[in-house]
Amino acid sequence: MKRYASTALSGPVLKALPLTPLEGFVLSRVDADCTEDDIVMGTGLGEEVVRSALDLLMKLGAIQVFGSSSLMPAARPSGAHPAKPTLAELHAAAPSQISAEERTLLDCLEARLLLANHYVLLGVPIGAERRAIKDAYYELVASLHPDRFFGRSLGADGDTITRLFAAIEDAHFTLSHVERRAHYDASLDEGDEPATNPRAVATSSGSTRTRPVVVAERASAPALDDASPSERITDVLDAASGRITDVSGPPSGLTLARKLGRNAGSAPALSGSPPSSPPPALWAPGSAPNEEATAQAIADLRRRYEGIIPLAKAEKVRTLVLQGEASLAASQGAEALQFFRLAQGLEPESADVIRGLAKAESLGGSEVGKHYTYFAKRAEYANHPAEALTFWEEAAQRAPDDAVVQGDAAAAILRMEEAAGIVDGSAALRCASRAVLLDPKNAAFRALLGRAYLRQGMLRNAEREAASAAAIDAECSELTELRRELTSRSPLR
Amino acid sequence: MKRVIGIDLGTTNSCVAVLDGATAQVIANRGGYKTTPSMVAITETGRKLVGHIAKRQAITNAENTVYAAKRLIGRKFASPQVASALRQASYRIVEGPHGEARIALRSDTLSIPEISAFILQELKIVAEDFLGEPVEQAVITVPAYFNDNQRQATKDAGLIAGLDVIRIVNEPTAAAISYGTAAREGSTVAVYDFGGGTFDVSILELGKGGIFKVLGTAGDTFLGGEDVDERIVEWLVGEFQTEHKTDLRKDRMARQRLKDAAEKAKCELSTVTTSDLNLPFIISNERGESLHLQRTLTRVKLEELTADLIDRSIDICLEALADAGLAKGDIDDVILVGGMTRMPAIQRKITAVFGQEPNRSVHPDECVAIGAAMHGAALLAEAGRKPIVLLDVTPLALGIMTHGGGFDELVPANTTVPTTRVKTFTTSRDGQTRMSIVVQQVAKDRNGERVDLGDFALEGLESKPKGAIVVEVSFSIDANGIVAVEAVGQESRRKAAITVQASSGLTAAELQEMQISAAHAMAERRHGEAIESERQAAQSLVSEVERLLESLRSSAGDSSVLGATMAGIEAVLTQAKVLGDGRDPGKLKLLLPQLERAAQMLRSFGS
Repeated sequence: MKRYASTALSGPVLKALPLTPLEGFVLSRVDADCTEDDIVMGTGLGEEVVRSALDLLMKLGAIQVFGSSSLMPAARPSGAHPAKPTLAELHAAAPSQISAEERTLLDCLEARLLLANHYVLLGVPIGAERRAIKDAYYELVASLHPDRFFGRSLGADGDTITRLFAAIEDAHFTLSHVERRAHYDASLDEGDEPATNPRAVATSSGSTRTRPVVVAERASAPALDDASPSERITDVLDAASGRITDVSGPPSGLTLARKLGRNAGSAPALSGSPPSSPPPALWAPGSAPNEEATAQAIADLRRRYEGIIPLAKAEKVRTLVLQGEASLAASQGAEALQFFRLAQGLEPESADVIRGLAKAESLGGSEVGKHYTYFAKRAEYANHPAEALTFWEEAAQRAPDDAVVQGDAAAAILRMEEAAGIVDGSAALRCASRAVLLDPKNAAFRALLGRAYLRQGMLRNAEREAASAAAIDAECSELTELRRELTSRSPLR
Repeated sequence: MKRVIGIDLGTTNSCVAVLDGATAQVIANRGGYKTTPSMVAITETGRKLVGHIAKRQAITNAENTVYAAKRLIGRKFASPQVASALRQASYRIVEGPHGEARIALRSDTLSIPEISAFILQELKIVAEDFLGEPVEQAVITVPAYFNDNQRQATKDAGLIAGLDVIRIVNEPTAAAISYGTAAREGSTVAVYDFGGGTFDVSILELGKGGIFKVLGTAGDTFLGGEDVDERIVEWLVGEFQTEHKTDLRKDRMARQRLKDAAEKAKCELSTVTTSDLNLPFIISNERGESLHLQRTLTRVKLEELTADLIDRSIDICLEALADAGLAKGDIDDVILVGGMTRMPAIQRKITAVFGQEPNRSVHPDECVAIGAAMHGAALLAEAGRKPIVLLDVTPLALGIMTHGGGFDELVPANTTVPTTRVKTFTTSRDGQTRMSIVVQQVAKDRNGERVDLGDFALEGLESKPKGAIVVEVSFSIDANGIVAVEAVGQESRRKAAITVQASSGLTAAELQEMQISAAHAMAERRHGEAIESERQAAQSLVSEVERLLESLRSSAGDSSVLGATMAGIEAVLTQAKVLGDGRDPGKLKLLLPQLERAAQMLRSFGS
């Protein structure tokens, strides 16, 4: 006797199934592990009827055979989910009927959601008037409300629309209220995680210990409540479609790097078939480095930018410029630069873009460099040495007059190269010598320069720097390191 | 193009509208009335009566006449609402197989959705007669305060009546739609909906591009026109008691007559200042003498009797304003919905509170159905054609029951729908393999009613130490206000078995059965109507032919020239009489041309 189990399709998908009330009834009776007989008993329907209903449900992927390999954790790649192939099939079976214009809008909004804070999502500047926010909100919801798609089959776009609608609703909820907006703005100014939407925070359920069959809230901060609203929605969808994203990493800013990383996990609609591996958990400590996936994610995002049809381009540029300006206003030079760069790629001649680029460049190298330092540290923390390396190099390049950035970069580059197994030292040498030039009286910088020389095989130079450093500060930890490397006499080249 | 009808399924009266060209209009029923009483009765002979015809015989057949079924829809038998209905209703309310309230009528026990379906079916027929084509799709309105069970049950009623309910819309919102086309963009309106059974107030903003955003909703499911009637009845009973020392309440028929008279007086007092209540032979005392009730109710007295009810409605208005974060001065217009708003006292009060006369551009009885029809048409319309976008809110908080009967709120009241919220849970015991979740909705009104929507069980979790299993539960409310909850086991990745039971109290099988029997009844009725119209046509021809034949015979006698013709006509007549008694409209129809020919021939002879 076959045993059946539900595949736990998500609500919207479930509702989209072409079922009669009778089949729906049968489906409602299929739970964890049940046989055809159980269902016959549970429904009071005839065996024939139940069997044919079960067959149909199997075909639609609403149920599966219990105990089949797809249910066994060992037989599956981690992160995958039983519902996933079914969802994909279902989406394939229900082609989306949205128009090209609507597709453009969805693409734009999705890109905004990836890049954005609430302001960008709504397409308004940070200091926008209430009226402007409201108008923008109305304009968007009028095009995205489920009613506008009434009676059309949407396939995977249904989820996208739901998600975007919810994100826009959240954005408006926050920005339409004076206090909530002030709170949110403050969190933007800190350059940190935007404040969590107060409405979305579920309250604590209290102690549930003594209840025999019990629902208890996870004591250690339920992961989803830590995320920003837009992220939460992405996560909801990720989870719903079977990708489980680790969002319990360090509290993060809306840095571009993170967005790039997240992209792999949040753009199932456009990539056709969802990726078979879990998305790279860029900032999750302890997770294995997944550079390939990261690169893939970045490539995906690039492709999406390039692939968006011309109608969308202007909108895209506008979005990027808006975000860039928002970042400028928040003194986020590095972020601004990134946004304007992306915009420049799309629209090199745009006056707005050129002006923005100039502003971002002129915001001060060290300011920009510091932000790269920040990205780099995050990448390093998440155990992505290759990426961190790039960020450090960028940071050093952006802040040529900041000795601290140069020094940190040099130290980090040495560290990263070591971790990544790269034997180069030239970038570190560049940074360290720049640092020493800027601040010749710093023992650590000199020691770093020494280590970089050592990497390059310039033993004598290394020894000279060690001596200079010792003359300044014999206790310097970098010096100790340099000495250790010198004594071991194992120059890496 | 297929038409969609808008139905205001009210507590006391229902109304159907359809978009006709650019404007929506209410369709009058066969009696010429634009609203149909929400009453259903079964006669002694087992005939089913709906609407005015049911209302007319309510006094003599009180036990088998259902009114205000809306107050019971989607309710458990054990709920306090049903308990209070049990005390007041003249019909018998019984407990159904799933603990829901049902109504016993003669030999049948009918579910509430079935009763509502009778009314919907009646309205469907009204619309079909008007349009001359079958109607399959409908938008049905419900009070904003309806919970998920009530909405589901209303949808089920539509299904039983053979209607595809494409959307459930909140009544105040529908009223705003009917008002909104004329309003300027960006205005803020308050909809004051004092209906037969419920009171709702919604504050809406009318945005660009046909957007209706509900900013806040408040209401009382225990405040309606019926309460006003009840006040009048109480007063009459009290007066009668003082005068005759006889309690009218003990007599079912007297009670029904009092109720009718009270309702009539209430309506009259909206236009005149005094109303006479004459109920001769209302009851007999223990000596067998017949007693008559004769009283005059003044408008002033009525206002005195109901002052607290009106004050309560105003308090609720202020609550809704506060919820929406607005002051009284922010309201550009107050729209009045529901027959009760004809009461001058209510209009005066609103004028006083909001500092402006209420808007009179919408019809208080018809605007809800009209708004529903407009919304339905907008839903089905081609893209780009006069869109209506409703950003409604859920006035009920959605959450789960926690240990000790607490309530863990996941979707707060006044959240814009559609919406989705997700929360993770873990096991609380070592080796726990099953989690159960009780989903509830809580009203934020003064009654604070809390309703179980269903029990959820997530089974077959891996046996692990407590806290090791993480389950993600997502709660969503769609544009209909209907709730869906699902759970996904996360870390086990083993399976996520869930049971979704959004129950209206009826199982799918029951629903299907009811749907089929309602469809049969409908076909039966259509058939009966068809044969009746053919029969009438035949009968009038038969009597004309008989008359002409008789006069021809008396003038011409049985002459041999006409003998054969007359014999032929006689044969047709006989056939017509036989078929007229039968049940086949088709054959009768075939006979009509022959009768017509015979009549023509005879007329020519006559002239």
